[in-house]
Amino acid sequence: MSDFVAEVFQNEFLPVGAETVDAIVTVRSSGGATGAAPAADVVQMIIIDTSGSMTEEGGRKMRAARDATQAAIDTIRDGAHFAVVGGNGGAYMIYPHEGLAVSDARTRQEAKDRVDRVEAKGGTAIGTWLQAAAYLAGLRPEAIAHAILLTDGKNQHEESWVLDKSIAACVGLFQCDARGLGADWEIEELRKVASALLGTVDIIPRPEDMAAEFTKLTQAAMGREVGSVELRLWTPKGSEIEYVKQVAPTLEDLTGSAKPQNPLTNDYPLGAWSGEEERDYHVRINIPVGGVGDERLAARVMLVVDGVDQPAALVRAVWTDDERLSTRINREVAHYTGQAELADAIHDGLAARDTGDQATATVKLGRAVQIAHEAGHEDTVRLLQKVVEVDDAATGTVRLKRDVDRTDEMALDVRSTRTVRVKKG
Amino acid sequence: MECPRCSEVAPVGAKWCEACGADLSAEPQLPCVSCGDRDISYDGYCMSCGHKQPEERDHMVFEAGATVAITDRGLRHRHNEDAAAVGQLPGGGAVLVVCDGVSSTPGSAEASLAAATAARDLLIERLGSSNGASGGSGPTLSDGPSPTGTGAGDRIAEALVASAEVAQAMAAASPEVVSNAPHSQGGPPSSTFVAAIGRPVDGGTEVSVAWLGDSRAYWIEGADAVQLTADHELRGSLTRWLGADSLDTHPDVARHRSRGAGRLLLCSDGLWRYADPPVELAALVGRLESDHTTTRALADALVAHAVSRGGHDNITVALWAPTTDAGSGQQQRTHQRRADAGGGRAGVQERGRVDE
Repeated sequence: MSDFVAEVFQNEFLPVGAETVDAIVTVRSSGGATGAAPAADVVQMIIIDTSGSMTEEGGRKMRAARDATQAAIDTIRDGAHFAVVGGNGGAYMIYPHEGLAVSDARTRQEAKDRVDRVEAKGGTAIGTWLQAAAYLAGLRPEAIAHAILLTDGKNQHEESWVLDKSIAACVGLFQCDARGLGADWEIEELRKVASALLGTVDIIPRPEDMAAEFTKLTQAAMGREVGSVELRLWTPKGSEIEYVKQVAPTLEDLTGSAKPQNPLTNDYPLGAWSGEEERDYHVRINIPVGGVGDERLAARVMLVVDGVDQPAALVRAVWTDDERLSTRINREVAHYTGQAELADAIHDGLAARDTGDQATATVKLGRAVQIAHEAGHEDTVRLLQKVVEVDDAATGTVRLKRDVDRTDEMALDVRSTRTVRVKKG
Repeated sequence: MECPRCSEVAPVGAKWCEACGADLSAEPQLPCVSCGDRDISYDGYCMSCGHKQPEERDHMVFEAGATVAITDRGLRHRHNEDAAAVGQLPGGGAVLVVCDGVSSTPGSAEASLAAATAARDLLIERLGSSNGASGGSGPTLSDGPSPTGTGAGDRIAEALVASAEVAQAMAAASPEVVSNAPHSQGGPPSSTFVAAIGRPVDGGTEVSVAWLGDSRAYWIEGADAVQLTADHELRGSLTRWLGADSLDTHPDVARHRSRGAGRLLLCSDGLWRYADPPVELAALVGRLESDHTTTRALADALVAHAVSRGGHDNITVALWAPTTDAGSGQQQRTHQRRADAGGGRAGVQERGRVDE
């Protein structure tokens, strides 16, 4: 069983009269099972789009989807439960015929054979696909369940409320990484799925990249050891949790996922964890103001790991009239505040560009280049360079590019929430 | 009585609550100093409003006979690294010690308290044996009708120097040093030191002090105050202190005699920086003493004054009001001092290293 620790980074000193407390909470798991230790009970589901549009590009997309699914199947370890679901206007079992299969050499081969015979036709109804996965995950409620969802198109063949209701029905049953192939899918639709189901969303620009991506996602799922971790926050009477955000490895607002335990305690589900992992969270709390010299606990941070409380870390507030203390900038808080601003600048810049507001787009994307450059976020700088000509990264001086590949623009948008961690030392 | 957990009424003296099994014999938890809630977490925070409850070390009061010492965290520092110790000597004498731990070094709070306590204990051991019970060998403090008490004075000076040595030994041997912990935050624990022996002599008072650093001793008489110590400080840095990294742990020693009634005050810079030069301190005491007629009340008021001025440092006050006339009360002394005001500077003052 892995060990979990939470560490708080903050400037606890507040000027007289201040009520807002910011802290970065780093959660780290370590000492996970190795070698002889029993592997966790995992369920892996692969949901692939088999709608008619997958036959485009001379069947290249469908061939890539088959290859990727087979690569994922090969990555499922012996003893794990798995299923392959096909999605079109409905959802159907590709393998096994019903329920979940137990992974071994034979079942994996059978599954791959079935995947070879999948034909693409029909529409796209992602909510229905998710409902099928929810049913399958529900067969093994104690297991750590994970789904890969692949689509190449918009959710055209069901009402949007069906998708929303379906997502809600899946929360807590399994985690889902959603992938969009090409440029014809809707970022917001898949982001909704991934956010609610504690997974990631990304674009697969070219079909040939899919197999590597599926293998990576399945490997990560096989490495998960702890099915459910919750961030528990006790905050004092009269306080308000303004937000709780995951800030690394990606930005994810968790504020709305709070599960109240009592009037002063809320739990935020963090999903499944591997035995060696680190994530950062930004907590902002408004608390009743104290007097000079007073210390107040702004939050007691606990981790609930598979239902068991773990030792706490403290977010504190100390009011002081010493400006040398209260004006100190905490490096971690400043860094992630900058990363959030970067994501917003990209989002706003691309939105302005879409509506033809070139001036705003130039300013916002320029600011994004500047922040990414300062933070050493090289991946994002590269993505931005496909959309703008950078004249001077340090000052954020850019020009909008005229001809931009749609997949490059989508990659920038969908990956804008990826963050870099604070440089150590 | 009512069970604090489930509110079930239990018979007086019950050890356990019949309803919920709560331990009723346990000491009742003090309510939160901020909101009054009774639920305090194991690490000292109110479980309702989150207010950090004061720690015992944050505010300590020591009393022995006519001597009172108060040490307080103040408002700006997170811990109280100051410490004090007081004691009584036979014949109306008093022992006062103040140590100001350097807040930038971990373990200074423990070091300063250990140093002050050890110094006080040594002074009582060396100077407290006037009555038959403790052997009675050698000269005693109240050594008969000798007009000057020179023999006693030397013995006091030697004892004060020895008390600084034992304080240094405690400060340098604090657990932080023994454990050889990395002193990343500015060296091993360190502390200032000031110790005083006050005793009635020939209807007046004699005060002997020894010190290292910038904690001070004053004799306050009416509108006048004499600073008995001279800070070991150069351009804002201490030149002498207690601690493993101290280069000079030899105290300076001074003696002051006064015929008039007055008060002996030892303090850390957390007080005197708000009342300097000495005449300011005398004026402050003069303003406070009418509403704070006991030594304890006056010491509290001096600490409160430093807090009200910002409390930027830990604050320690040790105060002794000698009873100059056997049987005379507080009230009487106050009148006496007023009558003497201005003319009470009949003291002699000596200062210097004793054994060089």
